Amino acid sequence: MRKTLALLFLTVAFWMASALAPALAVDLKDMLYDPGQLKPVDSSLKVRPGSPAPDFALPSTTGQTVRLSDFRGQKNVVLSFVPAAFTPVCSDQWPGYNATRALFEQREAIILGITTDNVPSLYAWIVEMRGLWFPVLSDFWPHGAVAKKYGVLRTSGTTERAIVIIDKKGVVRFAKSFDINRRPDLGLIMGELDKLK
Amino acid sequence: MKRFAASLLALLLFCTPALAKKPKVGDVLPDLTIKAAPKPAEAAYLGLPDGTQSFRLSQIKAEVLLVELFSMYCPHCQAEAKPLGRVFERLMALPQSKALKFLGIGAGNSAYEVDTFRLLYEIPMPLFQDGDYELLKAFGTTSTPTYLMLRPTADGRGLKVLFVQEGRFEDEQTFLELILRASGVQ
Repeated sequence: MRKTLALLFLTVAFWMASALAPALAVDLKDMLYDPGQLKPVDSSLKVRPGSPAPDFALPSTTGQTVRLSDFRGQKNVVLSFVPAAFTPVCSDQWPGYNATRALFEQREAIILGITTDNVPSLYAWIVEMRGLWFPVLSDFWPHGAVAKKYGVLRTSGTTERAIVIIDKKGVVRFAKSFDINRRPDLGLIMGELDKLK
Repeated sequence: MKRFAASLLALLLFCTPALAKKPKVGDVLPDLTIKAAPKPAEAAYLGLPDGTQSFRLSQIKAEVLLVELFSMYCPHCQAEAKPLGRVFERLMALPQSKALKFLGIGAGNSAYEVDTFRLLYEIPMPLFQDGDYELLKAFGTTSTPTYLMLRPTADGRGLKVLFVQEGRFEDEQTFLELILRASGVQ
């Protein structure tokens, strides 16, 4: 009986080692919290193409405060609202914009990434993503005030996965809350930026 | 004690299939359809007729296929794009390149995103979009990059898995030797 039990435990130990070992490799994808499928959109946009973009000033992860109106006359601005740090879709959307930096710059555009996470959480997340070329802003306090102004604050307190494109005159030229469960198509964003030329 | 041992074995039997969903060597996967039109050079390389709008993997003129599941948005795929291109170029200089063909599938990527990835990293192998993750799900994996080597079965049941690697390779020459060995192509 003892021999049988010993054999059984050895089998279990071997099975657990082989089944669970890959899970021990630590990578950003292993650190992510997956909220599962969410309601695609949970708010109503308050900005429309043709209307002036509401100005705001938010703290960035570099310690500076970034004001939207500072870009007026200088750059087209792509506001990229994403729901939360350390979640799956958001954690590859912005690294995708890292790889395609030249496409934004060719269109004289800067991205301002915005979430309702606090600065330390955003900082840690960006380090895990190996850095980003564009400012990431925290709309943490008053909680989601900017997101609310733009109509992209969800009832859960996170933001939508939204893109708002603002031209050099400070006018909204495109605004959409996308399905939160999916990345917006880069082709659509570039197509909208091309219309500003 | 016997009851405990029996329960433990039952638990293992119950749990194993859940952990074994990922493809493994020896599995036979369905003969999947790529719903994208190859560019003329891609069609020529894959041995597909001009004007092909979609095709099954088994229609590619090759004994063995190496499929990379990637995403334009995946930092590991971005970092590995150029090295993989060099592996492809090294293979193309070998006689085995007629029987072993490469292609990439952009998981969750639009056609624009696949084209952007191709241009950014000057990728020489055929790449196709999988906007709704249909192929990624059918392949039974969720991570990118993943490499799968597939051989169409003689009886047309599907594609037999000869090799699987989730995650990046370490060295270009070692990876090339590894896939040549796994393919069995002479």
